[in-house]
Amino acid sequence: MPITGVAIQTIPEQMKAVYDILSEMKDVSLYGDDKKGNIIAVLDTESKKALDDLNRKIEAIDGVIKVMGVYHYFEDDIPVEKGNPNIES
Amino acid sequence: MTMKRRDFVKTTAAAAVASALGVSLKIPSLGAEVPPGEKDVDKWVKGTCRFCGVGCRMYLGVKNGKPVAVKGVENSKTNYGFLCMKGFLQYKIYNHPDRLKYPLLRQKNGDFKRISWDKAMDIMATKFAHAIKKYGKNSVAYYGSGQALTEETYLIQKVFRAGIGNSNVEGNPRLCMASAVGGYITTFGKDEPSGSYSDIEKATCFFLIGTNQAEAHPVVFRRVMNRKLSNPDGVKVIVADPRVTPTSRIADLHMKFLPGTDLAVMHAMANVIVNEGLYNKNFVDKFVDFKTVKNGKPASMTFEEYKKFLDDFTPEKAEKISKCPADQIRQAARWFAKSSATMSMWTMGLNQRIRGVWSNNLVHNLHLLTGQIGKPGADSFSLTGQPNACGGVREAGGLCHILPGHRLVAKKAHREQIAKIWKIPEARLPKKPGYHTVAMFKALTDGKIKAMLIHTTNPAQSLPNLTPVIKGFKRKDNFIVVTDIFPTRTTQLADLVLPSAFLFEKPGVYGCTEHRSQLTQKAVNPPGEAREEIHIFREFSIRLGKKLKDPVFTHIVKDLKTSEDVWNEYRKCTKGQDVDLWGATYDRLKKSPDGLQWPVPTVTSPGTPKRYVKGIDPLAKGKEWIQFYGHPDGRAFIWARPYKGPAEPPDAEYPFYLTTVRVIEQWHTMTMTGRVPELLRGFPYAYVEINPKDAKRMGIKHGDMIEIKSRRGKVELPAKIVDGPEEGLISVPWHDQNFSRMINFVTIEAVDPGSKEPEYKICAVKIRKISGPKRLKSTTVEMKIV
Repeated sequence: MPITGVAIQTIPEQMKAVYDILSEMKDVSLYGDDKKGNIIAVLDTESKKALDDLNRKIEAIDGVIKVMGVYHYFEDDIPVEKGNPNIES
Repeated sequence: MTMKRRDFVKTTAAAAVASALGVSLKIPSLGAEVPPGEKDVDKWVKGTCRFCGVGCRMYLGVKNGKPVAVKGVENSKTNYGFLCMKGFLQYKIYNHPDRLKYPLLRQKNGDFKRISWDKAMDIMATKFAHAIKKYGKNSVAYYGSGQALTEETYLIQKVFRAGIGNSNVEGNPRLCMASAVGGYITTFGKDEPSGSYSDIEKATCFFLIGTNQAEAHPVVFRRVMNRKLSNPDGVKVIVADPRVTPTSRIADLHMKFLPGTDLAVMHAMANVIVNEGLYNKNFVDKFVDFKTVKNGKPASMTFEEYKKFLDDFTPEKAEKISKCPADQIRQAARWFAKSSATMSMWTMGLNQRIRGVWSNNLVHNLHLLTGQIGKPGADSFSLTGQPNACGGVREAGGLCHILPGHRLVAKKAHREQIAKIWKIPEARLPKKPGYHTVAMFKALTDGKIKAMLIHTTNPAQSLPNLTPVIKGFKRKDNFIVVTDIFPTRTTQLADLVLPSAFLFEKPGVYGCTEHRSQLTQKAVNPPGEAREEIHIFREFSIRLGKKLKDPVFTHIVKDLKTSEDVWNEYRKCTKGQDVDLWGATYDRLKKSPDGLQWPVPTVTSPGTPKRYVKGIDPLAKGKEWIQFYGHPDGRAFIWARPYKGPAEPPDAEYPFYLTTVRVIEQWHTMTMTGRVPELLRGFPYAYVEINPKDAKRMGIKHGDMIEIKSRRGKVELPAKIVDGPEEGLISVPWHDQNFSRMINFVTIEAVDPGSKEPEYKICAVKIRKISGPKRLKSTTVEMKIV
């Protein structure tokens, strides 16, 4: 159950709209912004895969430029399996 | 995890982000309510990210001896707390089950068998000693890495040069930044950029050429983007790249041109700057000399002669060569010259070329013509792709022609200085450079190298034109030792594999792009019997000396028992040099959030964010505000380089340009990032990007399997139809480990005659559809261990 602190960089004019969308999203807690387009968010997900999916979902929001990580807590993370995970197309 | 603790960790995470953004948040403190055992970590240990050359500082959080958290160092000037996904997820490598844990010896049937360290070291020393005695000292070689710690590279090059007495000391930075070295040396007389990342926040024009930094250096790109977004009208971004990339999407001007024609484009920009009177006459008069080459030797020329030389590069003439519209060239030249501060950045697009040095010179030319250097925000700033290509390899003697401290093997005075520090006779040191990378692996293929040590790199995947390279590995008459943390295409071909420690499993220094040296401290133990390389190299030297009955091998390593011992000796080698790190003691590096920028000549020196500038750089001791002290008269050179295209342009038989590229999820040959499932999901295997017009003309649809064939080899990749490459150009990410998708079977081994860097960025290929979409799997290299 990883906990991740991220700065969500937005186009400044669209920051409020992005903030409103994010505030409706499950697993996302918002802690304010820097008034320059960066939103402070914490992503609290069930798994690393869920975090990865959430990250992509946020980056797909219109007005979001990039999600940049600052803090990542993974004590409860599931260990990586040996060998090739055989990820397919 | 209890809810209370979970809330505490979430609050900690939010506070870390707020701190990185420089925002003060009113977050209720939960720390006091959390029992001590429930805190997020026992300790935070400071270090530098293991991947690209930006040098992002990070903390590894350790609890009960295991890594449990990662966070950026918020007061580090390299990244201000931000990390990209690769940096964030590298913790998955520490306890990864694929880690190499024990020495492995190849058996006759090709399987690997676990052996003891004692046996491994004895075999290694025996094989090297045998090769030296039977075939001579030039029959052994070391091939290292821009990922090795400075202490590691310094120590092993000493063993080779002072012990064995050859200079067959090379490293993979030859493949990525050797042309940047050549460019800086020939223009400024000294290697490495003058400025810092902090110039980004002061620049008002960015000239990004041959760099997709949004994917390859995302933390730097974030700063560029922030700068642009904070002043959309006042800051201009020029991207010069034959492809549309995530970097070009923020450009005010995207100059597309045919691959390999940028010499013409940059000369044409200089033409506009000169003919429209946009050059800085005062700066040029005082700080610049004009140079050409006559009869194979550098020769001076006048400004008028240079101006006449540029007549051959009007924007219209350059357009004919490059297909870059003349009006775009004019616009770029005007923005570049007129901005209050222009910062150029580039990477492989300029370096991995047969005229990479010249391309680098031409970027510097633009800065020198316009005086866009030395002042805040202005610099000609080459980005580096590996975390220690600058610090460990360029500075510590990790290439065949250099000695530690930016010295040259071929210069007697430099050899004498090093011999004195090492307390050996100068005559012991090699007088000539050894094999450069491509020549080294050709020598392996030709049977001239009989024993080789490969350290933290994967040449059996990363060298160009791999087929003959792999033949060299497979010869029965050589012995190849590889140190690494995971199975790779190179460990698979090794005779002896030595498991090594990873970042945070050992202490040591990385030197990043902005002449900054930063210490990573040890936080956790390596798995199994994996060892710190300096211990491996030290023992190798002692054992080899015994086999050769030469006490010098022990003499040169006897006092170098810890990484700090090695660093302290290396500091002596830098004292008084441009790369002066005498004042950068371990103690200072431990305390600093982001290390120190050289020159740092004393233990009280604050370091140097801007080289050559009086009042900032302690080596700029003359009268002028800027002094290019790499040349005796303090002047830098503007070079009139002739136009030359790529080694292998397309023709009727091979009609496409192929360029190799990078993606944000992966790094180098995927040996590490490919083992992180989250990153692998983003990029499970390589593909070929094809322009929609080419695809339509050839009846190729998205996902179709495409054969890409050059004069050297072929691969099969799924098609990605995208408005990325221009018509006639295809691009392939080079990371994939699958033999049928390893693009270096196709690339060309032609090298720049100055830097010896291969032209990975351009070769001619033909393509054909071989089938419809096919289900593909990612590939992770394994080794059969019995």
